Amino acid sequence: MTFVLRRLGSAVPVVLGITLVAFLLIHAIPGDPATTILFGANASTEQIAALRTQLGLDRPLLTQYLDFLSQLIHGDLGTSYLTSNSVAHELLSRAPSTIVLAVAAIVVAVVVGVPLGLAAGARPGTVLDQVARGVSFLGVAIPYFFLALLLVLLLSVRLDWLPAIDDGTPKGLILPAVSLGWGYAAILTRLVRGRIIEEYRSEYVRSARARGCGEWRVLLAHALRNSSIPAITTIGLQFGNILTGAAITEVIFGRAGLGSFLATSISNKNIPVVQGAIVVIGIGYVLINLVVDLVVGAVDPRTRLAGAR
Amino acid sequence: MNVAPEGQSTPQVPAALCTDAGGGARGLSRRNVLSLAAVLGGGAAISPWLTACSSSDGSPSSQVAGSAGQSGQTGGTLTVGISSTPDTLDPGATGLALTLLISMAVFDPLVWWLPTADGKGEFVPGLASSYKVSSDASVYTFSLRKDVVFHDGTTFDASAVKATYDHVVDPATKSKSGLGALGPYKQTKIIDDHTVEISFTEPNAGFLHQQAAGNFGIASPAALKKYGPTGFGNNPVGSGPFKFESYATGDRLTLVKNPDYAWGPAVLGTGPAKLDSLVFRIVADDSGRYNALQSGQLQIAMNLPPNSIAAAQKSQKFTQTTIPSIGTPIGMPINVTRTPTDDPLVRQAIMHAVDQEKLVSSVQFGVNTAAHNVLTPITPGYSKAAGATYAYDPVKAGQLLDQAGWVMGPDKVRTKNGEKLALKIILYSGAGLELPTQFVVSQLSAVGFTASTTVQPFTTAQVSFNSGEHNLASFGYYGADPYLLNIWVNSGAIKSGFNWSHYANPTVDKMIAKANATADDAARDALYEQVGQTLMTDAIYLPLWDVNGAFTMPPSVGGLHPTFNGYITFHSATTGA
Repeated sequence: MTFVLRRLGSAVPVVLGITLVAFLLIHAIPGDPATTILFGANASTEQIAALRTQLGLDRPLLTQYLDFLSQLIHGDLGTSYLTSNSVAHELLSRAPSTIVLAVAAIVVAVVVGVPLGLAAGARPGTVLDQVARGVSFLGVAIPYFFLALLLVLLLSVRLDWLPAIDDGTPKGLILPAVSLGWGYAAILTRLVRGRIIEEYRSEYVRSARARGCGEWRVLLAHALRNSSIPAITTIGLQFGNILTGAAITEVIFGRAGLGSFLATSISNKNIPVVQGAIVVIGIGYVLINLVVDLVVGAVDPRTRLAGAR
Repeated sequence: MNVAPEGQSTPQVPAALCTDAGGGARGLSRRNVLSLAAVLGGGAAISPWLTACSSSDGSPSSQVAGSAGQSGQTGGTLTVGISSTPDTLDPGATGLALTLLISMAVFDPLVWWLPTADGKGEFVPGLASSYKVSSDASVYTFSLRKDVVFHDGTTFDASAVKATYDHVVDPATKSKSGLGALGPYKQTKIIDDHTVEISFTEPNAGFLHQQAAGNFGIASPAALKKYGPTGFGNNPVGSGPFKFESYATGDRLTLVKNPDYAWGPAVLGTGPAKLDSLVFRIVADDSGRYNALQSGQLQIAMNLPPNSIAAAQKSQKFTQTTIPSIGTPIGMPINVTRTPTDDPLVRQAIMHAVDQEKLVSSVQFGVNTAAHNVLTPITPGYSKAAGATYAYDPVKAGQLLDQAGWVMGPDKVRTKNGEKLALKIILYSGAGLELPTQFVVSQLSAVGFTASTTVQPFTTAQVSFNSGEHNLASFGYYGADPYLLNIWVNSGAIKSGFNWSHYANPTVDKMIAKANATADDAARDALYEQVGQTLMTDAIYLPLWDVNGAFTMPPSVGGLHPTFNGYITFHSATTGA
């Protein structure tokens, strides 16, 4: 419990740091949000100036940052420049889509990657191993957005089996989850395969076999359990990459998620949205790493002891 | 719901047909009779025969929905794939032209302005049955219809007009294009329940075009009050053929038919909408929209890139509706203050060196229309003569450059005093100019230019444009009235604003102001034509192509009508599926 509290406590400066960096970066991009918003809106120069004042962009930078922080402490992420809706509303309405996609992609990665890695690692050099290595090589080599386009062309446009864009059903989740998760499945396959080969050479496996343990028990209860720690850590670390990948996957499949929303908001210089999204994603990242640490602790008691010391 | 074979049936007509059916008429199929039951809606006039038939296998409504879908004429859902997320659903607050596509299905303007067969426009009564304009174009008086009811049941009257216009100018609304389009608004005065007077502090002849362009759809005053100035954007309530049903942010907007709609302009189709529902699905990715159209998830894909449109046409599975838009065509503002384009001869050479027809046919697969002017042909005040100022003539371009002292070098690049004839081109991303610009550059280098092209996100590019770091920029502007020229040629809009040609001509400033103070259409158009000719002679803008609204759909989709903003109306749209 103290471990959890301490980890949460250490997240505060991290999130603060994230807000500062996000603030500085978005302001470092040249450009005036008021002009961007009013392009195409038949707006006079006076109207642009009025909007700039209304958005508070004529205040000193430090004031803008402190105002943002004080809002944040009160749980207010501000108001989107474009929609006049609260940033919290904009983010909350899009977050489920991204969370579902990220989780589905991780499920694909685990369901495909772990068994493939196990099979390849347990029988290195066999045909199965060659296939697993080929699949994981292709998975790492083919960018997910290209894979997504190929899958859509084949499975949606040609064969009409799966929806080309998100239709809100589980069926509509298959293509985005597979195209996003495949690369991570490949990483997991390689990782698990390598670990299993290594564990098979270790003494405890030899002694387990000597005790007369069955091959399956050796593989699943001993070798896999010891290989799972780097795998879990990798999945946790990859979560940030999955969010980045989600941005592009969301655009391709017309999913209204956080990633694509953040991308358009950056190019529109919708400052409150960018700051809000970065804070939320930052907190999410901190939480995921906490969960990963807890899971690793549950799997491997050694890390718990190390943490308590 | 209208029954297919009978066309625009009123409830009385099916009632009469019912009696016939009961008497043994053979012309009616079972399907049609079921549809009639829906028209009657369980009312007192339903004969026992119909009731028995409808209830024999389930609820009448579900049967009718199914049968109507099969009939291919009424009912069903039409899903339209659009490329960007609406900023708000409040037409008075929006800053996106795309929102107007949606708002024209939910709201009615006081007066419609619709294209006629000859490509010209005409004003058609909307919620106002007639209107009067004062001689100085500063006071507009509207007589209002008495039979209009908003989606929330509020009766339409003069107070709704006042509430709508006051809502646009309310700072809390944070109105973007509406406020800009309204110009020098003074007030809306209720003369009586059905007469309203909108006045301006100075003449504003563009207003009649502007009020019809979509930003000023009349809103239910009760809903404006209930949801507040920004909340209305999430809960739009108008009087149009479709009612707002739900909006999943950034994902899809669902509208359902307004069964009471009876005040639409005849040009767009009388009576309620034929569709049961109209869905706008946001798919930002161009190929995503095309894929979804092919897999049947979308019935209409909007603004596909030219290569997808060409592929769709080649497949013969889809038809293409291209709607010319209004305003300034897509093109390149030429910076008149940065060397070498500060020399009018160099600018004229650029104008002669580029073949827009070839650009459109080779790079854009003939999807767009070549542009040669600062306004598109359907824009009021368009000058045909100005459009003929520069023919494609590379020889002439070369002569002009010779005349300006630029000498062709051995590397096919002209020089003067040791300086190369170099153009700095800055584009903003997302406007589709990257590929066409390569074509433009190849044509410019044929006459001795060299060019570097940079693509920047809009926010960054706009700073470069304001500070004048470019020779050529990218531009294109939607506007229902030629007064939009004031946005991008006014000398006050150089440092901040959209005058990316850095053109400062007090005479043009004054001419535009004078035009907007002229109520007489012919006199105003003449002034704008003069402005257009001056801008073309001064060669401050290289027009490339007209911004057409492009809609790709299966041939079964029908009943769409074009609007002046490059969009379509769905008043009498059918899916045909």
